[in-house]
Amino acid sequence: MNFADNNILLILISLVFIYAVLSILVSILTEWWNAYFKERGIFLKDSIYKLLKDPLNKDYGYLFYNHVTIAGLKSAPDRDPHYISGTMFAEALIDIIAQQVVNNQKVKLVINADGTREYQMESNTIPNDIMERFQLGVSGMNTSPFADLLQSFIDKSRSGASENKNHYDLLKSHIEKWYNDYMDRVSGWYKTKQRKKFIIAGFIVAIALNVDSLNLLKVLSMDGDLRTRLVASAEQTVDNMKRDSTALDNSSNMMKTVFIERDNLQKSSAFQVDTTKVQELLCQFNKLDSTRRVNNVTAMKNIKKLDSTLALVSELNIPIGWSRSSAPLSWFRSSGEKATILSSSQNPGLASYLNARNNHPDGWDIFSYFVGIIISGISLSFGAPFWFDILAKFVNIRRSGKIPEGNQSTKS
Amino acid sequence: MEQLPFSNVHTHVFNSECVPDNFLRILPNKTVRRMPKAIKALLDTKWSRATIVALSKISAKKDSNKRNSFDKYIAFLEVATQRKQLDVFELEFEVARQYDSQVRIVGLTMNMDFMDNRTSRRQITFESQLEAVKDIKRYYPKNFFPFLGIDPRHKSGADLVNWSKAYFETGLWTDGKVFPYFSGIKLYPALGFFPFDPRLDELYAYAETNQLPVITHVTRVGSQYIGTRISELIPMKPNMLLPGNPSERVLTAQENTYNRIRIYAEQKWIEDSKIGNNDKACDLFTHPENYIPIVEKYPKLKICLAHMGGSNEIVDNSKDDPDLQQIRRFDSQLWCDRIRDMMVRYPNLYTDISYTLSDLDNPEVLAAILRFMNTPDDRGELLAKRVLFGTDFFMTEQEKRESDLYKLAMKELAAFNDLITRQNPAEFLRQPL
Repeated sequence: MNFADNNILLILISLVFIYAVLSILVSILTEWWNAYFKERGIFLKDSIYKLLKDPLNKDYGYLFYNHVTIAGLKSAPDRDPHYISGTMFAEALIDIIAQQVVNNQKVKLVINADGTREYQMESNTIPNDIMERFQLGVSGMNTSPFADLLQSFIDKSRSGASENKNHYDLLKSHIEKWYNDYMDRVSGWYKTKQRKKFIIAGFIVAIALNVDSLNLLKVLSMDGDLRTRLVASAEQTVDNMKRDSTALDNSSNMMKTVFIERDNLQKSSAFQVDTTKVQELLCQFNKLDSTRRVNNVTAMKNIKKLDSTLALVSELNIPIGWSRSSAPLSWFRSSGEKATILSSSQNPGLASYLNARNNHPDGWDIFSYFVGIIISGISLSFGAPFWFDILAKFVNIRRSGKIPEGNQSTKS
Repeated sequence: MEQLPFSNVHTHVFNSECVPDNFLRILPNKTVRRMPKAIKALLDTKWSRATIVALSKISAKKDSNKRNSFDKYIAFLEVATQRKQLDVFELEFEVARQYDSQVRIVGLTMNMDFMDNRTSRRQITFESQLEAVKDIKRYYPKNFFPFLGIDPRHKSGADLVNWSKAYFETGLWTDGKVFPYFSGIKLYPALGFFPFDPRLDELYAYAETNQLPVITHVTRVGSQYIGTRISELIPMKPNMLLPGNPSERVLTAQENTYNRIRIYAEQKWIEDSKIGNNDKACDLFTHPENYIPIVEKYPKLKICLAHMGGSNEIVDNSKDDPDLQQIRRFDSQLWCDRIRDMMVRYPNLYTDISYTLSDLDNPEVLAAILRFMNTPDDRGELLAKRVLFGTDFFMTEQEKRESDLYKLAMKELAAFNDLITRQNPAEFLRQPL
């Protein structure tokens, strides 16, 4: 038996390919939603507020977002940044805590004999060293879990300080690590939150495009031409994906080389480096980076993706979408109109199935239609990466079972 | 002689992050009070505000007034929901600096941590709000003069004084002058406390000693306690700080207060409401008579009874409000007249025209304000010497644009401009020039 031509595998590849293509629409919808409602920025802000909330002192999250470096990341007054690096977080937080000392300079009121008032600054005891200011800032806080945490960072950085690493760098790296670990968890929470949106978007696409999975399964099992077309497209898509992935790996390796060379240059003047090579690599890297930036403009990317997805759906002639000749709109047509729909069909089995489903539905057809929509909604909500991953696996299975052409002819 | 700086003694700089999640319950609308969070979430996005404005414009095509008022309400929300406190201040500063580059703007902070008895997920703590206010002071030391919001439920007695010293006795040095971060005290009793609360006694003593002025909210409308347990905040006979040897006036004020509470309770206006219908009950907190025990005990303390009592207490408009008509039966004197009488007697009482100035184009209100200004006090000096200019930005965005309010006041109160915008505020604030 030629495993590669196994009907069940072909049907599965075709169905998974349809899900993969339509899942792109789900991803686009979700991306649009997130961009429009500034979800990423809001989620990051909420998470940082939660991390820095200290009811016994202040909402440091609020002060953090008011800090000049973070406020400067906003693209508009109401658009919070989507990403804040660990370094930036640590530097801003250290600055906020250290600034507490500067902002709390004592003044005293002197009322003169003539009744006039005058304020005078009390002796200036603010240290110049930021670490000392940070320590004073923490000491000035009410005892709280957050204050204890900051104190533990100070203690750790003191004990680990050496000639190469000063207190400030160590403190910064401790805070960075704490923040990065927390951000790993935040990513998990964000994915969980996104899941709900994917389900909604999955149902929107399933209903908007009238994607009945049970009907698709039936049609794919009966329509060999459609199956062949879809499998060919699926294989081509998997090949393209592999090519893109290799290109990405190469560019990533190139970037790594550039950074290593650059670091070497900065760290050691005695180190012999091929500066021409670095320049060349940097040039290539900048070229790559600028292309990436242009392509990364979300709206443009989404429009391109949407355009190509819809073109593909229409090109492959997948039995989805709303028309008066297919269920459920065909159920509401007059009996005279119904008779003419499938008279020209060349596949009698398929024609008979479609005729029964579209023109003479019974209770089961109606029930299975709704079940089909629900299956589609849930399936599409898994997202494009999931379905493309499955698709690649199925295509690989098929290819591994394919008999080489030479062998095939010998056998025959 | 060098001209004194132009001053606006009544503005707010808080934004939506400082207020409780149910803040919109301050609006006297049952639908809004039933689902304040949902409506706030809806109004927090630009597209929904734009949609609502567009729909309202279509529906109010023939009624231009209706459309304007809606636009103004959205303008108020635009300020409150989208900006940092610094940005809110800068909006006001942009308008005020047209009158004087050295303008002094008083920013009144409000402790809204106790405005609702339910916890708010998104509200920042009052201390955090104050940190952002301190930042504004650092950036605009000569133009911004914040007042510290006080609530006896937050801190009380000596603890309150020690806490507030961190704001009054810290400051910054700029151009050879030292400025404290906070320049006075802001009371907003409608949030759920009586100004005569004995827990504030030590603070008043501290304020009197250190010549810190107090600005307090005195109108029947505005932000108020939106929690569900108003009855717990208004006992039948609340504790009252009293001078060592209370005068007849203090005892009368005490008796009147207790009577008022009894009548309000009988009218069922002090009842717990699930949707925060506390409008009437909160009038008890803001009544001008509540300040008599304070001014009697601390005669040197400068207190500004803001808003002159509010437009609806300057000219009686109770004919459209059956509840107000009922109130007038046992509390007949208009609040504006009460404030006038108190100012005639107590030389350190002030008032301002904030919010009320939006009605200066109403001839009746204007005439009443002018009469007020021209009333002589017990020492023979006009009360105009203790009236301050303020706008109540950005609350007033619901009424008129800030620049229009300045123009209106300058036009209608031209004879008193120098007094209310420069001389009186300088005397009231007593800040370094």
